Formats: sequence, C-alpha cells, structure tokens
Amino acid sequence: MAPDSFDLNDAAPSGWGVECLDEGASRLEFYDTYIWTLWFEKVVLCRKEGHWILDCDGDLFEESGHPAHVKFSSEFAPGLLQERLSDLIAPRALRKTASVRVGRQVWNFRNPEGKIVVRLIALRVSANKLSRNGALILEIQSLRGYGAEAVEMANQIEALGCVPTERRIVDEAHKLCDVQPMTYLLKPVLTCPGTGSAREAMLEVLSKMLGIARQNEAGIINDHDTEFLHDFRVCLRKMRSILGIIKDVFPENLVSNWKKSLGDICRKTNKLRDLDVHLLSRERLEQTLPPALRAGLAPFFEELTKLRLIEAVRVSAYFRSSGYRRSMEALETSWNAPEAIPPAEESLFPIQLAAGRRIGLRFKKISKLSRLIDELTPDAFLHEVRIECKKLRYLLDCFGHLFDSDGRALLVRQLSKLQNRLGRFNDTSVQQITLLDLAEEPIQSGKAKLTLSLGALIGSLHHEHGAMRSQVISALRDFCSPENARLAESLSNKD
Amino acid sequence: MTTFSCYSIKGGVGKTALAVNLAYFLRESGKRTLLIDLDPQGAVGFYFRVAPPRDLPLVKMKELSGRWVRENLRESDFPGLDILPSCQAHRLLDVALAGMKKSRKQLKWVIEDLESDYDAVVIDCPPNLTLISENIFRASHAILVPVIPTPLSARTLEQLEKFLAAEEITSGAFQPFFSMIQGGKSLHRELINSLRARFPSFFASGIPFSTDIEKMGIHRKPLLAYSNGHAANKCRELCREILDRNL
Repeated sequence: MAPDSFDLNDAAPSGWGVECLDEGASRLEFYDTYIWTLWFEKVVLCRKEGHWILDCDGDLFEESGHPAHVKFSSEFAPGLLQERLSDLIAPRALRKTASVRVGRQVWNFRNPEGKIVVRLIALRVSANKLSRNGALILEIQSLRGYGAEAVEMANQIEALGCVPTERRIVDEAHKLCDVQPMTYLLKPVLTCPGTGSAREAMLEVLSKMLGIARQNEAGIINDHDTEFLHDFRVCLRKMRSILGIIKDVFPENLVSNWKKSLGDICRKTNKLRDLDVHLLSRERLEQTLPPALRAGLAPFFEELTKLRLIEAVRVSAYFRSSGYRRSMEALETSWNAPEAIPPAEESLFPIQLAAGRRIGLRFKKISKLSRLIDELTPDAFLHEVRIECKKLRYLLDCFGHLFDSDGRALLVRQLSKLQNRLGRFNDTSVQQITLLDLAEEPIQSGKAKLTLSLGALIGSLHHEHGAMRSQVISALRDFCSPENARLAESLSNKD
Repeated sequence: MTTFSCYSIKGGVGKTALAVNLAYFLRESGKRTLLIDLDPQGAVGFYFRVAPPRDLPLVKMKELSGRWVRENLRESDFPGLDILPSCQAHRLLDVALAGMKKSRKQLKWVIEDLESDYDAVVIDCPPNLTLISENIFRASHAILVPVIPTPLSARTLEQLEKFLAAEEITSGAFQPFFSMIQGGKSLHRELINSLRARFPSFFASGIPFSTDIEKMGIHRKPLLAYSNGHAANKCRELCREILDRNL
C-alpha cells in the first residue's frame, strides 16, 4: 500500500531506468453471497468489462458469454466457472458487494544494462474517475533470476513510505463501499465450561441459537434464497430438541411454553420449506427419468414455483408481523435476562455430566432400535430411528465441545453418514406420497404427458427407496459398532 | 516439452537469429519457453541484455549440474521466455563431458529435469561437431539447420545427414532451412531448387538476408519484437512452419 504522495519515478535505485505503461482503467463489480461465503473461502468473484472472473486463491477462471445479471450460480452458462462456483455457493444467492474503478499501470525498472529486472504493477482503486479517495496497491513481480533486485526495490519503496500488505483489490473495494464482511456460523461458538451449570450452558446455547436464527430473518423476508429459511428452521429445531432432551433444568411450564412457541413458528414455514425441497431437487429428480419423459415434468415444477412464490410472500408477511416479533422478543427476553426464571431440580447439575449422560442414553436407544430392524421393518419405525439420530446429533452439536474432540469428531462423522442415508430414505418415501397427491389433478384433467412423467418419477423413487433400505441397515450397524458404543459410554462417564 | 536446437557446423549462418526469434515466437504462441545458449560467444545473453552467469564449475563435475542450471535461469523482458545464458566455461564443456559417464546424454537429462517448468526449449548451439553436438542431437526433437545457399552447403548437409544416421538420430529430427537468402542472386535461386530436390525435409519458408536482422544487435531484442518488415514476416512464416511440423 502506498501513501497518497507516492511517486514511482522516485522508486528506482540509482542508475536504474524506469518506464511506465498505462493500461487504462476498468470498473470491477464484486459479488458474494449474503453470508460472505466466497470472501471467507478467499475466493473472489467479479465482473469486469463483460467478463466474469472467479479467482479461487490463484486458480483463475475468466469467462465471457454469461448473463450480466445473475442471482444464482445455476444462471451462469455451463462451464468451469459455473461448476466451480456452484460447488462453492449453491444454492445460496449472489449479490453485488462493491463496485470500484481500478486503474492499472505496469512499471518496468531496468538495470544499467537496460535489462528489465523488476516489474511493478500499480493498481489504483477508487470509487470513480474523479474520486480522490482510494488506495494505491503496488505489486512487485520478481523476475526469475533477479530476486536480489526485487528485494532491493521492495526496500526502496518501503523507505518511501509504502507498507507491506496482504490486502487485495476486493478488500479495498469493500472498504471504499463501506461494507464489512461478517462471519456467519450456523453452529454457535460456546464458552460455558463442562463444569458450568446445566442452566448456564442451556441459556448460552438457546440465546446464541436464537441470535443465529434472527440473523436469517432479513433473508427470509426478502426471499434472497432458500438457505435462510433452512438455517432458521435448523436453529429452532435444535432449540426445541435440546429443551426436550435435557430435562428439569428449567420449570416444566416454561419449557412447555417455549417449545410451543418455537413449534408454532416452525409450522408457519413448513409448507414453504417442503416446496423448497421439491424445487431444489428438480434437477436430480429429472435425471432419474428417461430423457424423453424429463420435459413432461416442466408444468409440475412450474406449478410448484407459482405455489412457492405465494407461500414465500405469506411467510415474509408473517415474519414482518407483530405476532412473530412478539414471540421472538419474548424468547429473547427470557434467555438473555434469565433472572425471572425460577430454578429447577437439575439447574445446577454440571452440563458435562448432564449432556454426557443423555448422549450415552440416546446412543443406547438407537442401538436397541437398530437391532429390531430388518428388511421388512415398516418405514415409520425407521423414521423413528431417524428422529433419535437427529436428537443425538443436536446434543453433539450443542455440547460436543465439552468432550474429547477426536472421539466426538469420529462419532459425528459416522452419525452424519448415517443421517444422510436415513434422510434420503425418508425423502424418497415422502416424495412418493406428495407426488401421488399432486398427480391427482393432472390425472383428472387428462394431462397425459405430465401424468406419465409423474408416474415414472414415483416408480423411480420407489425403486431408489427400496435400494436405500439395505444401505440404511448397513450404516446403522456400522454406527452401532462396539467401538462407537465404548466411545459414547466414555462421554457419558465423564466426571 | 519439445526441444528445438539451432545447429550448424559452420559459424555465422543464422543459428542465433533463428534461436532468438523462434524462442520469442513460441512464447508469443503461449508456450512457456526456455532459450539455452551453449555458444561461448554469448550472443543470446547480449541480445536479451542478460549478464553471463557465474562460471560453471566443470572441473569438479561428475555430471552436468541441474542445480547450476536452475540457479542461473533468467527471466527475459518478455514474460514467458526465460534465458540460460552461456559463460566462458562453456568452451571447456567438451573436455568436461568427456570425463563424465554417459557423456552423450548429460544435456538430455538436464533438459528433461525442466519438463514441469517449460513447454518448449530452444538451444543455440556452438558451431562444431563434437561431444556437445552429440549431446544436443540426443536432447532435441528437432535439429534446425540454417543453410546459406552456397555450393559448399550441399556437401556440409550431406556430411551432417550421414553423421546423424550413424548416430541413430531419428531422420525426421533433421530439419534444414534456408538462411541469408538473396533472392536477386541467380546462384542462390538455383541452389535452393537443387538442394530442395536433394533434401525434401527443407522448410518451405526461409530467412532472407536483411539489415533488419543485423539491427538486432542495436535494438538488443528479437527481430519479431521490433519489426513488421519483410524479414520479420519471413521469419514469422518459418517459425509458424516449424511449430506446425513439430508441435
């Protein structure tokens, strides 16, 4: 970074020659998700003179032929940039974070022989052509075999007041446009120690989780993308779940009110989330059909898109309502200023013991249920196992940090694998039912193509559901292994 | 990685002119290129304003040092084109090679070691037929031989062709081209026709005799970097033909 008064003509050591090639200026527009996914991954997405550039820490993808305005990675034309970007952010939406003018000059410094020994790129970042504010970023490009000269040049420009920096153009652009990347984590960072009381730990989890849920409100109200609602619901479900699992920490009537409040809010968003799930799986569902039947599903998804739009408006209105605001504020008040909450039987019980015991019990319950499962077990029973796994996962997510990290990480990894299979097993079951319901209308009105495609899709889901069963059973057996049982037992015996 | 050597038993026939411009052309075509100067005269270093490296410690060497090579690579003023300049010690290279095991393959191994850094290597060769030349032949995919259309050239080419055949160098590697052509001279025109008939591997394009080329010593850069004149266009045509045949 160079000071305002800096002149590169002064930078050449004695006897060296200088020449400057002015490469002009261009406007750079930077993009990121609303939760700064790219910035935190050290990835830069920007648009420059009709080109889109994705810089993945030096791995550069520069492409033209994409639309000028895009909201989702799927809207880019197929290609490497689209593929890489989708891996990074899908299904998150993009937004423009900053727009700046960047002037570029190449300065060649020649030794007394006339050989270029140092090349220096000068980038002037400013809001616009007339703006006096901005930054001058100098990048010394060392030429192979001329490292000593590059060091000499670096010393020279430092002596003239330049400061070494890691800041990139994107950082300066954000500064100029007065935007600050904010960390967003779906998992709260918890500080309560294992010896702390269950009440203290639960209140920390609840208040931080509620805070994270509320960070998603603006995204839901403005319907930026589906993940705001997803994350919001995950937070609320976790809160409800741990209130139900770690019992007797708060008076029962209060817990019951809180759970009802959280459940009511969640229910208002169920339909929108269901529609999101269907629409997000559109491409995957279409791929399961023979190519000739894929187009037949288009009217079905168009109808879902219309329904989703209506539902999103309804949910947005609900989030802006005073009823919603009151419910959330009541929870906030209770958990952020808990003096009014009377103590309960296990309020002062150490959280590590309380959580460890529940983790052990939950593991035993899953093991017991899994022993009863075979190829003929009804889906509803497997769904029950899935719910138990979710509860165990929430416990590990919320209180896992109190235990040995290697053992917990291993358990979470295996549990996550099991949950993925249980989730897919459940989805293929629910989707069959939903599609059967939705197929009623096209059947009645004689829409043959759509009926045919829906039929094929239900058949494909039925087939996948059947195949998933043995995968679920094997994942359950792996998870309930004696090694994992010992691991879960060791967590429950912590003192 | 493809290795081109600009070779002739005779001096002053246009080896360096082609080496410098071919390297520049390769880099313009997007190939990461290294230009190696093995001629102790050091003309490549002069054209690119690159100082000679510290002397190659040949006396102590049991094999050609890849480390010395890496330490002495120099980036030219043209991004994508690096130079390995020659030094005075290169005149002793033959003697040193003679004392090494596998003395005919030393250069090939050093170049192969640079495979991840470059797409193309161009060697400007010293004018002789010695152990260095044998190293060069074994390291090269294409041996580009400048030929001034004079009566003695046919004899020299025949000698070289026989030598390469005896050394079991692939016949396709031997690729002559006409250099310093003076189209106004009927002798040149006649010799070009007869030599083409005798050696079908001659490139169709050739480099004319031109003061523009001699001015490389004044500009101290490749002809292609400062001229769009007739000689530069002919040189560009030849480089294109060389790439088309070999890449």
